[in-house]
Amino acid sequence: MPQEIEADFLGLIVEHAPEHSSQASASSSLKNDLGYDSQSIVSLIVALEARYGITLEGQDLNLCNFDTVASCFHLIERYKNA
Amino acid sequence: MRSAGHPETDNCWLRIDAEGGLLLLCIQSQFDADAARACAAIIAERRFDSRRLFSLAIEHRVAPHVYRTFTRLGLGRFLDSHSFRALELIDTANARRNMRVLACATEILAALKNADGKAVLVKGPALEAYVYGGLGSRIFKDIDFLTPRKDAGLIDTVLRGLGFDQGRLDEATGTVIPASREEIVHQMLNTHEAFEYVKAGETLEHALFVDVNFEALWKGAGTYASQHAIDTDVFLDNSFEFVSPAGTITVLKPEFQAIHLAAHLLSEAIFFQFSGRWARDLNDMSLLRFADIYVLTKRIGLDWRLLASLSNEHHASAAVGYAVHYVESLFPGTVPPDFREWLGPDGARWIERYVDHAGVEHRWRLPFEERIFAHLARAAEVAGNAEVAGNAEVAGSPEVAGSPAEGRTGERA
Repeated sequence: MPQEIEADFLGLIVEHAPEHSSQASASSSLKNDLGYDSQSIVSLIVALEARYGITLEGQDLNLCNFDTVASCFHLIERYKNA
Repeated sequence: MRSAGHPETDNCWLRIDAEGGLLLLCIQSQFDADAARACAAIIAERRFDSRRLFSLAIEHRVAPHVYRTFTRLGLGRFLDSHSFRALELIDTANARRNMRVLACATEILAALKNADGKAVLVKGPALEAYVYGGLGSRIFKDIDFLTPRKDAGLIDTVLRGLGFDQGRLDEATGTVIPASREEIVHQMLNTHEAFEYVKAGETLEHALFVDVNFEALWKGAGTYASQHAIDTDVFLDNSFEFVSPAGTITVLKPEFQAIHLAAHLLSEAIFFQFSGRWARDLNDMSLLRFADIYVLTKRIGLDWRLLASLSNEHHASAAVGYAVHYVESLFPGTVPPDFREWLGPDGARWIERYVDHAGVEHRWRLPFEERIFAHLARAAEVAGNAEVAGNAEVAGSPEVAGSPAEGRTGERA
């Protein structure tokens, strides 16, 4: 069952996306749908860390965790709930 | 070029100048009586230029080999006094620093082990302690660890607990300028290693640098990506604890040590994806990297059949074939004659070839011995090829057709 993505989180994703889109959803690909590249993903991670007061550990700084909006959301949720 | 007077076992030697040849003999002299005798004869007959020998020893980072050979043979007086004194100072400082750095490496490994983390010491410090015997004869700067990415947080905690921080050493103040969060994240996401850890010391010489690698090898780009990548776990499973003069360390088994050295050498020699760094250091052809493999074969020994088998099993034949081809060329008689056959055709894949920063593959026109001992000539050939490839690209020449990501060939007959 697809998890509901918080509007606040989705807003940050869209805000930092090189190709702004109001159509972003859980299944959106950060790279293919929203135009993220390696540099803009870095900016997004730093913004997410600041927004939620978390610091991602090295093992989680892996591009496969930032494939889709949902995968990124699940990672951040894990840290928020830790 | 003048001949070094070495037994003519390989044509390569006929085209190496006296100082280059003497450098090679210095490396061999501790293992090979014939090499020691040839070395002594050249030195005693003053058949070399003292300043050029010094310059090459520094360039190829083998100053301790040269200093120790002259000292061991009792022939230091045949080197000009300034060069001899400088070599002596380098050797002494290097030996002191190596012991300090190795002690730090053992401390990190012990702390990591206590935290149930896994890591193996690779490159400089592992070679110094295990391959060279911990006697201060291997020059290196960083402590290099290979660790699984899942332990990245663990090793970060351990290093910070020991006073390290991720950043750069400010040589003007001797302090560490911390890396930004963006830099740390970018490095983790896009490379095989963490941003460098640094710990300042009482003096610049006392500063310590740690590289945490999550992949054993640098990967090529596009077509060449991952073709010689080996899982970090494979290397970790083939490591063992070794008691060095500075304490217990974890290092790779000899044949895996050889594969790691060969693959690292191949990556630097063949793939120029870090073209800025390559242009600065010209380090792909440092004699030290070939000497490491030679010393490994002499001090530790290799099971060559096992090495061939492992190379084939882990798709490392191209790297191993490349490295041992040139080790044999520089140090004749090191590699068993049948080894190339055991390795199979992949072993010859990269011999006499390189890939420029744009992903274009070339065949060297300069012979190997000139590439290694005449860096400027080598750089000129690379620059010339880059210019030709660039012009052809603009003109849409089919010779370099395709994107860098697909891999291209710029080979000329």
